[in-house]
Amino acid sequence: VTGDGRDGHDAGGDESVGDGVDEADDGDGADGDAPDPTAAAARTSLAWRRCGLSLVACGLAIARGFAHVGVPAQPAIGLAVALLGGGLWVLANVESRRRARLSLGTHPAASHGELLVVAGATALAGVVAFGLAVSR
Amino acid sequence: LTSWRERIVGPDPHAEGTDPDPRFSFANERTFLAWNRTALALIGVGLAVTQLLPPFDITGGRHAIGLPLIALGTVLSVASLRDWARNERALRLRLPLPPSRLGLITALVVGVVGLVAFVVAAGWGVG
Repeated sequence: VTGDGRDGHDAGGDESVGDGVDEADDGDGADGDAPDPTAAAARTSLAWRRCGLSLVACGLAIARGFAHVGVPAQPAIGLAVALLGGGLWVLANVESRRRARLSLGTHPAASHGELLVVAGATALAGVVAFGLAVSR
Repeated sequence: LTSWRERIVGPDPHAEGTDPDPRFSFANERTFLAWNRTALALIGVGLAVTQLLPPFDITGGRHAIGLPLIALGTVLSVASLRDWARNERALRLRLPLPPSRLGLITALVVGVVGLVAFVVAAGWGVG
Protein backbone atom coordinates (compact mmCIF):
# COMPACT_ATOMS: atom_id res chain seq x y z
CA VAL A 1 0.00 0.00 0.00
CA THR A 2 2.87 2.30 0.85
CA GLY A 3 4.38 1.67 -2.55
CA ASP A 4 1.19 2.78 -4.29
CA GLY A 5 1.44 6.31 -3.02
CA ARG A 6 5.06 6.37 -4.03
CA ASP A 7 4.21 5.23 -7.51
CA GLY A 8 1.48 7.80 -7.91
CA HIS A 9 3.96 10.46 -6.90
CA ASP A 10 6.50 9.22 -9.40
CA ALA A 11 4.01 9.24 -12.26
CA GLY A 12 4.31 13.01 -12.31
CA GLY A 13 8.06 12.85 -12.77
CA ASP A 14 10.01 12.94 -15.99
CA GLU A 15 10.85 9.25 -15.89
CA SER A 16 7.31 8.04 -16.39
CA VAL A 17 6.00 5.48 -18.87
CA GLY A 18 5.85 7.79 -21.85
CA ASP A 19 9.51 8.72 -21.58
CA GLY A 20 10.67 8.83 -25.16
CA VAL A 21 13.61 10.08 -27.14
CA ASP A 22 12.46 13.70 -27.10
CA GLU A 23 12.35 13.77 -23.33
CA ALA A 24 15.70 12.06 -23.17
CA ASP A 25 17.13 14.92 -25.19
CA ASP A 26 15.53 17.47 -22.89
CA GLY A 27 17.21 15.95 -19.89
CA ASP A 28 20.62 16.05 -21.46
CA GLY A 29 21.06 19.79 -21.25
CA ALA A 30 21.58 22.48 -23.83
CA ASP A 31 23.65 20.58 -26.39
CA GLY A 32 21.08 19.32 -28.87
CA ASP A 33 23.71 18.14 -31.34
CA ALA A 34 25.51 15.60 -29.18
CA PRO A 35 23.16 14.45 -26.39
CA ASP A 36 24.94 12.61 -23.62
CA PRO A 37 23.90 8.94 -23.30
CA THR A 38 25.10 8.94 -19.68
CA ALA A 39 22.05 11.06 -18.79
CA ALA A 40 19.80 8.27 -20.07
CA ALA A 41 21.87 5.80 -18.07
CA ALA A 42 21.46 7.93 -14.94
CA ARG A 43 17.69 8.19 -15.42
CA THR A 44 17.42 4.44 -15.83
CA SER A 45 19.52 3.94 -12.69
CA LEU A 46 17.12 6.22 -10.80
CA ALA A 47 14.21 4.08 -12.01
CA TRP A 48 15.93 0.95 -10.66
CA ARG A 49 16.64 2.65 -7.32
CA ARG A 50 13.00 3.73 -7.11
CA CYS A 51 11.97 0.08 -7.56
CA GLY A 52 14.37 -0.85 -4.73
CA LEU A 53 13.03 1.83 -2.40
CA SER A 54 9.43 0.80 -3.21
CA LEU A 55 10.30 -2.72 -2.06
CA VAL A 56 11.88 -1.36 1.14
CA ALA A 57 8.70 0.61 1.87
CA CYS A 58 6.53 -2.49 1.16
CA GLY A 59 8.77 -4.57 3.42
CA LEU A 60 8.53 -2.10 6.30
CA ALA A 61 4.72 -2.02 5.93
CA ILE A 62 4.59 -5.85 6.02
CA ALA A 63 6.92 -5.97 9.04
CA ARG A 64 4.85 -3.40 10.92
CA GLY A 65 1.42 -4.80 10.03
CA PHE A 66 -1.89 -2.98 10.48
CA ALA A 67 -3.28 -4.34 13.74
CA HIS A 68 -6.33 -2.03 13.77
CA VAL A 69 -7.66 -3.66 10.59
CA GLY A 70 -6.62 -7.18 11.52
CA VAL A 71 -3.40 -7.46 9.50
CA PRO A 72 -0.74 -8.94 11.81
CA ALA A 73 2.88 -7.81 11.81
CA GLN A 74 5.18 -10.18 9.83
CA PRO A 75 8.72 -9.15 10.86
CA ALA A 76 10.50 -12.01 9.06
CA ILE A 77 8.72 -11.61 5.71
CA GLY A 78 8.90 -7.83 5.94
CA LEU A 79 12.61 -7.85 6.70
CA ALA A 80 13.27 -10.21 3.78
CA VAL A 81 11.37 -7.97 1.34
CA ALA A 82 13.10 -4.85 2.71
CA LEU A 83 16.53 -6.48 2.38
CA LEU A 84 15.67 -7.50 -1.20
CA GLY A 85 14.81 -3.87 -1.96
CA GLY A 86 17.98 -2.63 -0.26
CA GLY A 87 20.04 -5.11 -2.29
CA LEU A 88 18.38 -3.93 -5.51
CA TRP A 89 19.20 -0.32 -4.55
CA VAL A 90 22.88 -1.18 -3.93
CA LEU A 91 23.07 -3.17 -7.20
CA ALA A 92 21.53 -0.24 -9.11
CA ASN A 93 24.24 2.06 -7.76
CA VAL A 94 27.06 -0.30 -8.73
CA GLU A 95 25.54 -1.03 -12.13
CA SER A 96 25.01 2.66 -12.96
CA ARG A 97 28.77 3.36 -12.86
CA ARG A 98 29.52 0.42 -15.16
CA ARG A 99 26.81 1.46 -17.59
CA ALA A 100 27.87 5.08 -17.68
CA ARG A 101 31.23 3.85 -18.99
CA LEU A 102 29.77 1.23 -21.35
CA SER A 103 27.15 3.50 -22.91
CA LEU A 104 29.89 5.16 -24.95
CA GLY A 105 31.17 1.84 -26.29
CA THR A 106 29.71 -1.65 -26.08
CA HIS A 107 26.06 -2.34 -25.52
CA PRO A 108 24.93 -1.51 -21.97
CA ALA A 109 21.36 -2.83 -22.11
CA ALA A 110 19.98 -5.24 -19.57
CA SER A 111 19.71 -8.87 -20.63
CA HIS A 112 16.46 -10.70 -21.19
CA GLY A 113 17.18 -12.91 -18.17
CA GLU A 114 17.78 -10.03 -15.76
CA LEU A 115 14.46 -8.42 -16.60
CA LEU A 116 12.76 -11.83 -16.49
CA VAL A 117 13.73 -12.01 -12.79
CA VAL A 118 11.98 -8.68 -12.13
CA ALA A 119 8.86 -9.58 -14.13
CA GLY A 120 8.80 -13.06 -12.59
CA ALA A 121 8.97 -11.67 -9.05
CA THR A 122 6.07 -9.29 -9.76
CA ALA A 123 4.03 -12.06 -11.37
CA LEU A 124 4.72 -14.37 -8.41
CA ALA A 125 3.55 -11.65 -6.02
CA GLY A 126 0.39 -11.33 -8.13
CA VAL A 127 -0.35 -15.06 -8.09
CA VAL A 128 0.20 -15.25 -4.31
CA ALA A 129 -1.96 -12.15 -3.77
CA PHE A 130 -4.72 -13.61 -5.97
CA GLY A 131 -4.71 -16.86 -4.01
CA LEU A 132 -4.73 -14.99 -0.71
CA ALA A 133 -7.59 -12.72 -1.83
CA VAL A 134 -9.72 -15.64 -3.05
CA SER A 135 -9.19 -17.75 0.06
CA ARG A 136 -9.96 -15.05 2.61
CA LEU B 1 12.54 -24.69 -20.92
CA THR B 2 13.71 -22.20 -23.53
CA SER B 3 10.74 -22.73 -25.82
CA TRP B 4 8.36 -22.48 -22.85
CA ARG B 5 10.02 -19.23 -21.84
CA GLU B 6 10.03 -17.89 -25.41
CA ARG B 7 6.34 -18.60 -25.81
CA ILE B 8 5.49 -16.41 -22.80
CA VAL B 9 8.02 -13.58 -22.94
CA GLY B 10 9.35 -13.78 -26.50
CA PRO B 11 12.80 -14.70 -27.86
CA ASP B 12 16.01 -13.05 -26.62
CA PRO B 13 16.24 -9.83 -28.67
CA HIS B 14 20.04 -9.78 -28.54
CA ALA B 15 20.25 -12.76 -30.90
CA GLU B 16 20.01 -10.59 -34.02
CA GLY B 17 20.70 -7.08 -35.29
CA THR B 18 23.21 -4.52 -34.06
CA ASP B 19 23.33 -2.32 -30.96
CA PRO B 20 21.04 0.72 -31.25
CA ASP B 21 21.66 4.15 -29.69
CA PRO B 22 22.05 3.26 -25.99
CA ARG B 23 19.51 5.94 -25.06
CA PHE B 24 16.81 3.96 -26.88
CA SER B 25 17.64 0.81 -24.94
CA PHE B 26 17.62 2.76 -21.67
CA ALA B 27 14.22 4.31 -22.48
CA ASN B 28 12.86 0.85 -23.37
CA GLU B 29 14.13 -0.52 -20.05
CA ARG B 30 12.62 2.37 -18.06
CA THR B 31 9.27 1.72 -19.74
CA PHE B 32 9.48 -1.91 -18.62
CA LEU B 33 10.32 -0.84 -15.06
CA ALA B 34 7.44 1.67 -15.03
CA TRP B 35 4.98 -1.06 -16.14
CA ASN B 36 6.27 -3.34 -13.40
CA ARG B 37 5.83 -0.65 -10.76
CA THR B 38 2.30 -0.14 -12.10
CA ALA B 39 1.73 -3.90 -11.88
CA LEU B 40 3.00 -3.98 -8.28
CA ALA B 41 0.73 -1.02 -7.40
CA LEU B 42 -2.32 -2.77 -8.95
CA ILE B 43 -1.56 -5.95 -6.99
CA GLY B 44 -1.16 -3.91 -3.79
CA VAL B 45 -4.41 -2.02 -4.31
CA GLY B 46 -6.30 -5.22 -5.17
CA LEU B 47 -4.96 -6.89 -2.04
CA ALA B 48 -5.83 -3.85 0.08
CA VAL B 49 -9.40 -3.73 -1.30
CA THR B 50 -10.04 -7.42 -0.57
CA GLN B 51 -8.30 -7.54 2.82
CA LEU B 52 -8.59 -4.11 4.46
CA LEU B 53 -11.97 -2.65 3.44
CA PRO B 54 -15.10 -3.39 5.50
CA PRO B 55 -17.68 -5.42 3.51
CA PHE B 56 -20.01 -3.61 1.09
CA ASP B 57 -23.79 -4.13 1.11
CA ILE B 58 -23.41 -6.17 -2.10
CA THR B 59 -22.02 -9.64 -1.37
CA GLY B 60 -18.64 -10.23 -3.01
CA GLY B 61 -18.25 -6.54 -3.80
CA ARG B 62 -14.68 -6.35 -2.52
CA HIS B 63 -13.64 -9.37 -4.58
CA ALA B 64 -15.37 -8.01 -7.69
CA ILE B 65 -13.19 -4.90 -7.41
CA GLY B 66 -9.93 -6.35 -6.09
CA LEU B 67 -9.46 -9.63 -7.99
CA PRO B 68 -9.49 -8.09 -11.52
CA LEU B 69 -6.87 -5.56 -10.37
CA ILE B 70 -4.58 -8.30 -9.03
CA ALA B 71 -5.05 -10.33 -12.22
CA LEU B 72 -4.30 -7.24 -14.35
CA GLY B 73 -1.10 -6.58 -12.39
CA THR B 74 0.04 -10.17 -12.84
CA VAL B 75 -0.60 -10.11 -16.59
CA LEU B 76 1.05 -6.71 -17.03
CA SER B 77 4.29 -7.76 -15.33
CA VAL B 78 4.85 -10.58 -17.82
CA ALA B 79 3.34 -8.82 -20.87
CA SER B 80 5.59 -5.79 -20.32
CA LEU B 81 8.67 -8.04 -20.55
CA ARG B 82 7.34 -9.38 -23.84
CA ASP B 83 6.88 -5.80 -25.07
CA TRP B 84 10.42 -4.90 -23.94
CA ALA B 85 11.85 -7.81 -25.95
CA ARG B 86 9.81 -6.92 -29.07
CA ASN B 87 10.85 -3.26 -28.84
CA GLU B 88 14.50 -4.13 -28.29
CA ARG B 89 14.44 -6.45 -31.30
CA ALA B 90 12.87 -3.74 -33.50
CA LEU B 91 15.47 -1.22 -32.33
CA ARG B 92 18.31 -3.62 -33.12
CA LEU B 93 16.91 -4.32 -36.62
CA ARG B 94 16.07 -0.62 -37.28
CA LEU B 95 12.41 -1.55 -37.75
CA PRO B 96 9.37 0.49 -36.66
CA LEU B 97 8.37 -0.24 -33.06
CA PRO B 98 5.56 -2.84 -32.90
CA PRO B 99 2.18 -1.65 -31.56
CA SER B 100 1.60 -2.35 -27.87
CA ARG B 101 -1.65 -3.67 -26.41
CA LEU B 102 -0.73 -2.93 -22.79
CA GLY B 103 -2.40 0.49 -22.80
CA LEU B 104 -5.66 -0.88 -24.21
CA ILE B 105 -5.73 -3.82 -21.77
CA THR B 106 -5.05 -1.53 -18.81
CA ALA B 107 -7.67 1.02 -19.87
CA LEU B 108 -10.36 -1.63 -20.45
CA VAL B 109 -9.85 -3.44 -17.13
CA VAL B 110 -9.52 -0.24 -15.08
CA GLY B 111 -12.61 1.18 -16.83
CA VAL B 112 -14.71 -1.92 -16.11
CA VAL B 113 -13.46 -2.07 -12.50
CA GLY B 114 -14.38 1.61 -12.14
CA LEU B 115 -17.95 0.88 -13.26
CA VAL B 116 -18.19 -2.12 -10.91
CA ALA B 117 -16.80 -0.01 -8.04
CA PHE B 118 -19.41 2.67 -8.78
CA VAL B 119 -22.25 0.13 -8.64
CA VAL B 120 -20.87 -1.55 -5.51
CA ALA B 121 -20.24 1.75 -3.73
CA ALA B 122 -23.73 3.00 -4.61
CA GLY B 123 -25.21 -0.26 -3.31
CA TRP B 124 -27.55 -0.60 -6.28
CA GLY B 125 -29.69 -3.71 -6.44
CA VAL B 126 -29.83 -4.05 -2.66
CA GLY B 127 -32.72 -1.71 -2.05
